[in-house]
Amino acid sequence: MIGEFELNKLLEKYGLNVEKVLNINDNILTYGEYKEIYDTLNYLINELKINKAYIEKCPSILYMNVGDIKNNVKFLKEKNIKFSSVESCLHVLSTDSKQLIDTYNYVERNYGTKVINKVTSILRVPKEKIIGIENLNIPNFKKQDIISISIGRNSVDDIKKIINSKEYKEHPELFTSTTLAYSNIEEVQAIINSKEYKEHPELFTSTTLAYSNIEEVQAIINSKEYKEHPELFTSTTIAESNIENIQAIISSKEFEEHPELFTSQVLAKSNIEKIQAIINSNEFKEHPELFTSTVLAQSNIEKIQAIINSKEYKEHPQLFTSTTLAKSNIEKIQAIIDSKEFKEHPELFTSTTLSQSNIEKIQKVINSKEYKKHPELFTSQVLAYSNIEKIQEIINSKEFKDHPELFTSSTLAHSNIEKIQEIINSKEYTEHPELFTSTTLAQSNIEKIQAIIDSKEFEEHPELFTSQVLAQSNIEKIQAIINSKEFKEHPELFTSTVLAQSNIEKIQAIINSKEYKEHPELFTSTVLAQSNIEKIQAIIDSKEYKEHPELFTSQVLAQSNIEKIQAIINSKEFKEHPELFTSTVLAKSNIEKIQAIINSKEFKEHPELFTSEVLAHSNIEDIRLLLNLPYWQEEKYKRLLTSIIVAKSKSMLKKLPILFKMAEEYGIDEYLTTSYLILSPSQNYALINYLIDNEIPLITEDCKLNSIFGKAPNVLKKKYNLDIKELMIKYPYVEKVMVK
Amino acid sequence: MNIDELDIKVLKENFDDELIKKIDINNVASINKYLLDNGIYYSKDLFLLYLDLFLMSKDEFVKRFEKLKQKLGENYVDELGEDLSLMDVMYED
Repeated sequence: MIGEFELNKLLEKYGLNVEKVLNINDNILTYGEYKEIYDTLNYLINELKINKAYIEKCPSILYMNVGDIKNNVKFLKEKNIKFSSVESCLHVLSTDSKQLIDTYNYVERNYGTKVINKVTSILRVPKEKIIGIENLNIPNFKKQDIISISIGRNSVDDIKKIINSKEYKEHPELFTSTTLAYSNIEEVQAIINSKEYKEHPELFTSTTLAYSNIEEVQAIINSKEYKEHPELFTSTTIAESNIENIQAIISSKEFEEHPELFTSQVLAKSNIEKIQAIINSNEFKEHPELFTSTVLAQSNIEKIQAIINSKEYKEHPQLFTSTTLAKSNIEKIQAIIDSKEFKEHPELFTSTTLSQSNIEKIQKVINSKEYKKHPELFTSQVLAYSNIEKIQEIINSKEFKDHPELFTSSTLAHSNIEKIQEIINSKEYTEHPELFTSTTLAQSNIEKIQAIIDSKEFEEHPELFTSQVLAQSNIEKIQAIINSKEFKEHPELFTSTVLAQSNIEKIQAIINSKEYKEHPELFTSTVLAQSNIEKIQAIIDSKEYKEHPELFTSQVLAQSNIEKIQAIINSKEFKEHPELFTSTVLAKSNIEKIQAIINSKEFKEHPELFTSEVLAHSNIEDIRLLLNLPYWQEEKYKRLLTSIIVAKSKSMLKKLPILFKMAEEYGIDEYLTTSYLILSPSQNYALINYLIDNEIPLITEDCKLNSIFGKAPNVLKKKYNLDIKELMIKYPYVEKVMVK
Repeated sequence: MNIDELDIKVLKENFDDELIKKIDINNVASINKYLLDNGIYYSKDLFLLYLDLFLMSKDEFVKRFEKLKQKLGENYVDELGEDLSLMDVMYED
C-alpha cells in the first residue's frame, strides 16, 4: 500500500502525472509498494527508455515485481520481438513470466513470429484461452481472427454464448472478430430485437454491437437532433458518441456559425469543449484554411497552437495542411524538420511526409543500403507511407530480382512483400502476364485479381479487361456494369477505361438522362469514364451551350466543366478573336492560359502564328522561349516557323537547336523542310551518315532535301530495307555531335 | 507494342519527362490496336514521334484520324508513311 502524497512525489520525480495514472487505475494505491514502484520506474524510464505517456496509460505495471518485468524483457529481447511493439502495450511486460513464455511458444509454433510482432498484446493472453477459441471452430473466421478475438475482454464461454445465439445465426455479417471479442450477448440481443434496429439497420455495424448498448442507441435515434440532422448520424456516431455530447454540439453557437465544419465524424470523435477551444482560437481566425471537419474531429487546440506558433511553421508553411494539423504533433514535426535528412534531401519531404511519418522511420529509410542502391525508387510517398522493414523485404526478394520492371516507388509506398509474392507466384500471373503492371502490384491484391480473372464476365469479354481494370476496379463493380441493361443496349460505350474508372450508378445516371436522349452524339465512352451527370447537365443546360452549340463536343463534356467554359466564352478575348476558339481549346485550355497568350507581345507581333491549335496545345512560356530562339532571324529557318511548330513549342524547344546545328554541320541547312523536324536528332543523324557512307546525295539534283527524311522508320524498313535502329547503333549520335 | 532502349532514347529526344509521365499505357494500347486494325503497321513510329496525340482519349484520336484518312483517300497508309508531316492535320479541330 502507498499513500497518494507519497505516490504523487514519486511520480513527479519521473515526470508522470498522478491524476492521469489514478484516473486509469487507482488499484496502485492498494497494491503498490514504494520500493517496488521506485525500482520499476527507474528500470522502465532510465534503462528501457520507455515513453512516460505509455506508463501513464498502463499503471498496473508499476506494482509488478521488477524482477518479473526484467525476465519478460530479457525473454522478448532474446526472441527478437520488436521493442517498439511492446512499448505501446506495457501490460505485456506485466504478465506472469511463465504464462508469457508458454503463450509465446504456442503462438510462434502455430501462427509465426510475424503475428507476435503485429499483435504483441497476444502475449498477455493465457494460451488456454487461444486454444479454447480455436476449438470453437467458428465458421468463416481466419487464423488471424483467432488472435484478434483472443485479445478481447470476452471469455471463451462468453464467445460460445454469442455464436450459439439466434442473432448470430440470423445476422452473421454483424459479428466480426471485434464483436466476438468485446460484445455482451444480452446487449446484442437487445439491440438486434429493437424497433430502432428494424427501422434503421444501416446505422448498426459490428462496432455498434461491440461497444454500445440499447439505451444509448435509443436515446440518439429518438432525439430531436437526429430527426433534424439525419445526415450527421452514421453507425460510427451511434457506436462512439452519446446523446449528451451530440446535443451539446448541435445546440452550440459554433455549430450555428460554421455548419460546414460539422460532420458525423466530428459528432463521433469530439466534444463541445474541444470544438469551442478550436473555433474560438486566434489560430482559427488567422488561418481558417487550415481548419476542416477532420481537424475538429481528430485534433485539439493545444496541439494546433503548438504547431501554428512554431518556428517550423513560419519557415516552411508549404509543408503544413489541414491534414498535418489533424494527424501530426509539434514534436514529430520538429524532429523531422530539424533533421540532417531533411536538410540533405528536402525534395523527399512534403506535407504528407509530415502528417504520416516520423523521424525514426525516415532516418532508417534514408540511411539504408537499399536507398543508396536504388535512390530512384524512393519518393516522398515512400517516406510517408512505408517503412524500412517493408522496403527491405521487397527489394531483397527474388520477385524484385526477377521482375524489376514491376516495381516502382508506388509499389514500395503502397504494397508489401506478401501481397506481391501472392500476385507474382499466382496461376493468374503465369497465364496473363500482360495484365500485370507495377500499378497492379501497387494497387490490387490476389483475391481481387482472382475474382476478376476467374469470372464469367472475363471469359465472355476478355477485350474489356486490361491491367488498369485489374488495378483500379473489383469484380462487384465489373459485374454490375457488364450485367446491366445499359451495357446490353449500348455496348459501344463500354471500354476497359469505363470499367476501370466508372461505376454502374454513374453510368445509369448518364445513359438514362434527358441530356443523353437529346444529344446522344455528345456521349462517348470517354464521357462515361471521366465525367458525371451533374457536370454534364451543368454544361448542356447552360446559356453558353445554347448560344455556341458548335463548340461543344464529347471531348469538352469529358475534359472540362461549366466554370472553366463560362470563363472562356464570356471573356473579352473570346469576343475579340472568336475564330481562335474551337472545342479543343474549350476542352484542353483555361482562361488564364488563353489570356496570357492573346495579351502577349508575341501575339501582337506574329498574329499569323497563333491559331486555335496553338491555344489548345501550348502555353505562353514555351511559345516565348521558342520565338526568342536566334534561328528565326535567318530566312532559311524562318520559313520553317509555322503555327504547328508553335503549337508543339515544348517539344520543338528540346530538339530544334540540335537539329539545326546538325543541319549546319552537314551543309543541308539551306534545304530544310518541316519533314526534317519530325524524326529525333539521333534518327536524323543515323540517316545522314547512312546517306554519306553510301554516297547517296543529301541534296537531290533539283536542290531538294533527300526525301528519306520524314518517312516513318518502319516504312523505311519494310519498303526500302533500311533499318533505322541498326543505323542508330552504327552511327551513335550523342558523343560525336556534342564533341564537334 | 514492345518498347526497347532505342525507342526510349527517341521518345526522350522528342519529348520532355513531364509529357512522357502522362502516358496511359491502356489508352496507348487501345489507340495502337485501332491503328493496326487500320493497316498502320508503323503505328509505333507515330507513338514515338507524336506522343502528344496519343495522350488524347481514344475516341478523340479516332475521330481525328478518321478525318485524316478521309483527306488522304484510299491510299492513306502509304501516303502517311511516306510523309509523316501529314499527321499535322491531327492537330486541327
